[in-house]
Amino acid sequence: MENEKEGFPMTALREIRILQLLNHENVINLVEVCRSKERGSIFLVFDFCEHDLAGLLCCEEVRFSLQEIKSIMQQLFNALFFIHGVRILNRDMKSSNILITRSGVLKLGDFGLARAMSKGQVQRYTNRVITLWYRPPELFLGERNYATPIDMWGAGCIMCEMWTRRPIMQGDSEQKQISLISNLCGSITPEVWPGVESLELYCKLQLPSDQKRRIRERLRHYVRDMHAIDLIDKLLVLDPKKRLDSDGALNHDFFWEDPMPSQSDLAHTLSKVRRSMFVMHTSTARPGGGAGVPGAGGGAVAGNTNHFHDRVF
Amino acid sequence: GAGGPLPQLSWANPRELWTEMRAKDVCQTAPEEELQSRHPGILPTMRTILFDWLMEVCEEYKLHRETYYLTVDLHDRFLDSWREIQKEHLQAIGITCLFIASKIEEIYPPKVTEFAFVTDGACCVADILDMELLICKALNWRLNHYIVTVNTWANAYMQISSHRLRPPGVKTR
Repeated sequence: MENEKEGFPMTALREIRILQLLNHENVINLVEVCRSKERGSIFLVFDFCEHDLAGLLCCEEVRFSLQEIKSIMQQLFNALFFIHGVRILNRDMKSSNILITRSGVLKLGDFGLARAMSKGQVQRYTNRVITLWYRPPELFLGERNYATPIDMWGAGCIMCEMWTRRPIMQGDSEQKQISLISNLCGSITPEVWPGVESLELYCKLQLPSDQKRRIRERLRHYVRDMHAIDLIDKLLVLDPKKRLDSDGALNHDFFWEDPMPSQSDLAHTLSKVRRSMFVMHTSTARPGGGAGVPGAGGGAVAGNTNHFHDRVF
Repeated sequence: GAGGPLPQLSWANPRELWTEMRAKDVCQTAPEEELQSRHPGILPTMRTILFDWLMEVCEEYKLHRETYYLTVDLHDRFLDSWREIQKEHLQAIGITCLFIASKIEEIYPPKVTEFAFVTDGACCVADILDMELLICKALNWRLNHYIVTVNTWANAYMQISSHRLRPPGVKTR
């Protein structure tokens, strides 16, 4: 954290309290909080993780088998099932916030934007959360009474990345992002999403019309496993009420049909990775990887010299 | 009644709220005698003097009443979690609790230098920042979560009485 003249900022106090409530194998563990004497900087010390998912996906040598992908996704949904169970929203799902240890244990990290949910009543949370590329449609439309489905959309985007190796929808503005979403998931209409017309920005945004839902046909080139495609299709659902929750995801056939998820395979693959793969360390670092909202994202992506620099969709 | 004494509220389930308020009122801090036996160097009058002074600071910086009560709560819970605190440290603990409570409760909290200033040389900025970390850790970062202050109770009584004055069927905000 930056130099804090006023001691702990309110956001840090909130984050630390949330981290303390979250005690789970697949959630990052806060070990200690300290402050440097000279400059007053605050440090949160976590258990060590060698890699993050964005960094691993940038690295061409790292190839994940279907069992390994299943293990990563199962652990991610375990993390979400746990945090949602204790009524915490992560609100910053992205592959660079998914940490993986050398022994193949996934840790959901970064609860800097997280918040506790209140019970039952209509809320007015800020909708200025989540990195653009992983932000669900309801937030663009001005929904403020959102809930756990916002994290499930991000999980769907991340699951696609396991095969595409790049974020699937890299918009450089809110308008562009909503176009990319419509282009992939179909037009946003009251037919597929009853009640969407009552959201604040439904009439103000330019929503592409007559777009067909193309998830299955687009993914066919990348994803061979039919259960995987089916699960992604149920996660990237426009209407948050119809989006699969973490429990539904964990019960999906993807995790219960051969080949079964294998954490030991994952550990074996990672044992061959010599360097620590953090997206901020890799030369092919992507905009929006480490530094939050991608501002002028488009240009930086095109400027990359790696072999994956083409847009996926 | 079956739903507790609170009227229908638009922002919470009155029965749940009432149950939680009562539960938290019981478990929040140790009784006064216990606090005294833990800290033989601190007399009840010293606590009174400290809180009177903190109230003056609150007036000076026009802080909200809830900030003051949160300060009292932080202070008492900190003493509850510690042993044999010397009276020399009491002012630093008090002003730091007010510093933390202001950050939580106020929209425009005073700067840490302003809190150091009102101690008239007793605590510097570094003392307050060190004490902040100590207090946060001692309270296990439970700073404003589910704290029930006397203000919460006062609000509840106001809601009950205003509801009784109103004709039935009118919702309380």
